[in-house]
Amino acid sequence: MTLDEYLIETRCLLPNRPGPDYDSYIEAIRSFFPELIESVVFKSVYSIQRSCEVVDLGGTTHIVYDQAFGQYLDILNRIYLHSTRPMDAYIYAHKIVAQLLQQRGRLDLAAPIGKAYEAYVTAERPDVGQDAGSTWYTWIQEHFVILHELVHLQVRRQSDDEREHTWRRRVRGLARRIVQEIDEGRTLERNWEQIARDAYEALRGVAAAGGVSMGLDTQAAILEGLRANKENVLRVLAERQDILEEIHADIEATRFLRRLVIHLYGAPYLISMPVYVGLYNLRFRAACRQAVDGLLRPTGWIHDYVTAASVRLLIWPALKLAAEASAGHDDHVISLNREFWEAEHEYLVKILHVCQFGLLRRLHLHTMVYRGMFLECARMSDQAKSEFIDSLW
Amino acid sequence: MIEINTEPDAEHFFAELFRDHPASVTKAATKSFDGRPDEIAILVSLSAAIVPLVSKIITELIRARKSCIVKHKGIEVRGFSESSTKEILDSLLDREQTRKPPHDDR
Repeated sequence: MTLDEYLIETRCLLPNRPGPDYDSYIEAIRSFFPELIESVVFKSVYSIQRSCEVVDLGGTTHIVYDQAFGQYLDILNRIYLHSTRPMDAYIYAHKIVAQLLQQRGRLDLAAPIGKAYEAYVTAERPDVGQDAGSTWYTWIQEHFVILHELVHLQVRRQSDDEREHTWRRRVRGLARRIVQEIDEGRTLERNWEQIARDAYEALRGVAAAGGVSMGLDTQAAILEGLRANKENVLRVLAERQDILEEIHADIEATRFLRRLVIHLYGAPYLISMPVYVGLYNLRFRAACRQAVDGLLRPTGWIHDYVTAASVRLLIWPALKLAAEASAGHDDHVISLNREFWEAEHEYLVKILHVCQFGLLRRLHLHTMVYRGMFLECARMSDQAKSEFIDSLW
Repeated sequence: MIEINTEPDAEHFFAELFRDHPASVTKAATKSFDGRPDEIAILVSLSAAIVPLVSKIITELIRARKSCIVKHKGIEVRGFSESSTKEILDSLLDREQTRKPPHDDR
C-alpha cells in the first residue's frame, strides 16, 4: 500500500486550498538540518481530521502534515491577537466540537452543535482578521510542531544509552529543579484569583451576548481547576518519564527554529511567544478532544490529552527563563516573565476558560440547551447532516 | 476498506489475518502530533470471505479490553460490541460493494 492509498482510506480528504507551501517549509528544514530529516518522506494533506501524524508504512517513515491543522492554529492566533470579545472563541469552539463529533461517528450530536455554530456566526459575525502578526505566529507554530516531531524521530534512532547521555539526564535534572521552583512558587507566581475573576466576567459577557449562562459556582470552579491543574502537572512531571522526551523535543525544536529564523531572516525575531501561544492552542485542542471523549464515554476510561499539554505549558516559560538567565540577560528575564504571565492571562480569559466553562465542561447539557437544533436535525438524513457539517468548512 | 486502530502490543490478535489473507491487510504504525497514544492501524480490505475472521478479531479485542476503534474513510464506526460486530461489518461490506464501479465487460 502506498502512502497516497493509505491517506485515501484513512482520511476524508478535502480539495487543497491555496495556502502555505509546505514543501518549501520542508526544503528549508532539509537543507539546513539534513541530519534531522534524512530518510523521512513528507506529505501535506487537507482533511477534516485536522490531524498531523507520523506514519510508518512499508518500511518508510512519513510525516503527514494537515493543512487544516495549520488553519486551526491560524484562527486561534487571530482570536488571541485581535479579538476583543470572548464570544469569538466560544463560537469557534462549537465548530471544533461539531467536527470532532463528526469524526467520532456521532452525526446526531455533531449536526445540532454545528447548527448552533451557524446561528452564532449569523448573529454575531465574528471578525478576526489575518495580519502579519497572526501569519508570523502561525508560521512559527507550524515549523515548531514539524521540528518537534522530527526530534522525536531522531530520538527513535538513538540507543537507550545515547538517550541517557545526550539529553535525558540533563532534562531530568532540569525538570526536577523546575518542579521544585514551581512548587515553592518562585518561578511562576500566578494570580489565580485574578484569572478566575476575569474569566468569569468574560463568561458573563458570553451569556449576555446570547451564549449559555453560567452557574454561580463558575468562578470557584475556575479557581479550583487552576489549582488542580498545577498539582496534576507537578505530579506527572515528577512521575512520568515519557514527559521528559516531550520537554526535550520542545527544547530542541526551539533551538532548531531559532537557527532557521536567523538563517532565513538574519535575526532571531519573535519566537518564544508564538511558541508559547502555540502550546496553548494545542492545550485548547486537547480540552476539546477530551470533552468529546467524556461526552461519548461518560462512565469509561478516557485518554488524558490535557495533562501532557499542560506540562509543556507550565514548563515552557521556565525553560525559556533558564536559557535567558544562563546567558546573563537578567533584566530581559524579568520583562519576559511578565510577558508570559500576561499572555497566559489573556489566553485563559479570552479563549480557554470561556470555552472550557461555557461549552466543554457541560457538553452533555447542550443536548437540552440546543434542544431546538436537535429537533431540527432529527429530521435530517445522515447524509444531509454530514453534508451540513462539511459545509461549515 | 476499514481501519482498525489498536495498541501496538495487540498486534498478535491479527496474526491469523496476516498469515491467511496477506493481500487484504496492511499494517501502519502511527503517532499523532496531538498527544494521542501511539497506535497501530490495521487496514483491511473487506470481502465476504474475510468478514468472519475480522469479526472474531474485533470481538477478541473487545473481550481483552484492548483499545479498538474501527474507522471507515477516517470516520469512526460506532456500536461495536461482542454481539453486533458481524452485523456492522456486513453492512460496511455492503456499503463498500455498492461504491465499487460496475465491471467493465468490454
